[in-house]
Amino acid sequence: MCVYCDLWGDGMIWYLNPKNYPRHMYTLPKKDAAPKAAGGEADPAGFINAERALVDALEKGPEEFEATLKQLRDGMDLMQGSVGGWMGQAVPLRDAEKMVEIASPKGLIACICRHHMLGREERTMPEMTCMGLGVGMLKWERWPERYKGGVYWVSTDEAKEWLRDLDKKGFMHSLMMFGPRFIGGICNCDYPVCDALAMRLDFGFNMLKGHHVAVVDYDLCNGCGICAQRCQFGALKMNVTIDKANIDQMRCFGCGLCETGCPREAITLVERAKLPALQEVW
Amino acid sequence: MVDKSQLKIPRPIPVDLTKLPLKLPKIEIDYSKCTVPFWCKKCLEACPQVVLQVYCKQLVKLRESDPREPGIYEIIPVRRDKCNVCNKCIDVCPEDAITITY
Repeated sequence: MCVYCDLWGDGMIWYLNPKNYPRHMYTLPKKDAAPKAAGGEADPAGFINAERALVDALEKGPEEFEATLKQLRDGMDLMQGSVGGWMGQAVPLRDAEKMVEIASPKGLIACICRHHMLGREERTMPEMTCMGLGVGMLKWERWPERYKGGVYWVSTDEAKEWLRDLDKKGFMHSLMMFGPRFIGGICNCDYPVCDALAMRLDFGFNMLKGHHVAVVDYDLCNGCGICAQRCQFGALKMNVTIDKANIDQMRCFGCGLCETGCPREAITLVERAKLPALQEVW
Repeated sequence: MVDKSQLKIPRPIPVDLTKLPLKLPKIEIDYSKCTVPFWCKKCLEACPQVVLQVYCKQLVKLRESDPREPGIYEIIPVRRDKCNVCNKCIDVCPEDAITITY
């Protein structure tokens, strides 16, 4: 079972549980509360330095690397209220659409990872690839350096349309947690310019796999290869021998990009929980 | 607080620990020459492996930094494990601020 469903799911998938959206933004912070972190208030170089420490540890040795990874996971738990350093989770388009129905307000913002990695600014609405959820977003004006280009508030329908557009382009969706039990954003990621995705695939923390895995129907697949271009995880490849798509479900994150890209509806998402050997593969 | 001992927390490590320590390229940036990286960002765009990252050193409340003001932003070589020493960043750097040793 997904660790967050176990903790905060109340019997459903945790990110579809409305209790995980408002958090303590509605109340005043307590004096003895754990150090909080949100968007712009965190140390600007904090995450970059953490990543750097991890890469430096690769040069030192296996014990040092494991110790740095543990320190990073524990630090993330302390700062962000995550469990085991898992701050995000892959979400298929259909669930992302349900999430924007639950959360309010919703604001399109510039992606911080693309800002760091490529120097992108995303100053206008059509360029924006990140969405902030919940009342925390109302404080954006305090940190204009983080929210370059401001916040573009959207309705539920606009948010869905925006998600579908990005899905068509080939971005995978993920949620981001900012504090314990608080889902604060939907990211649209691609490797390697997404910090969370790069950290997960290269070092094994930050983004959990989603609640689904993709399955190919060989009778419907015509081997066009569009899905193989869309997979960000190296899980989907063309099986050249039979000229069909093949999915390694152990690597599949369940983001559903192959499903939404398939012109013949040959790929479907099935629940991870229904496949016994995949239940604990996160 | 969450009692973590009761939970099944996934802890995958995709890194092959038996191969550590790795020999990684050393990337040095002369910050006296590279002063306006967010305005220039030529190395960021040129690097095929996305090794370099830029960040704002001085996060000031209610103020957006000017990318043309020297010393506000800084380039850091973060993902040295992915650097293939192609030297493209050195070629595009107008200030010759980057040195890579391997």
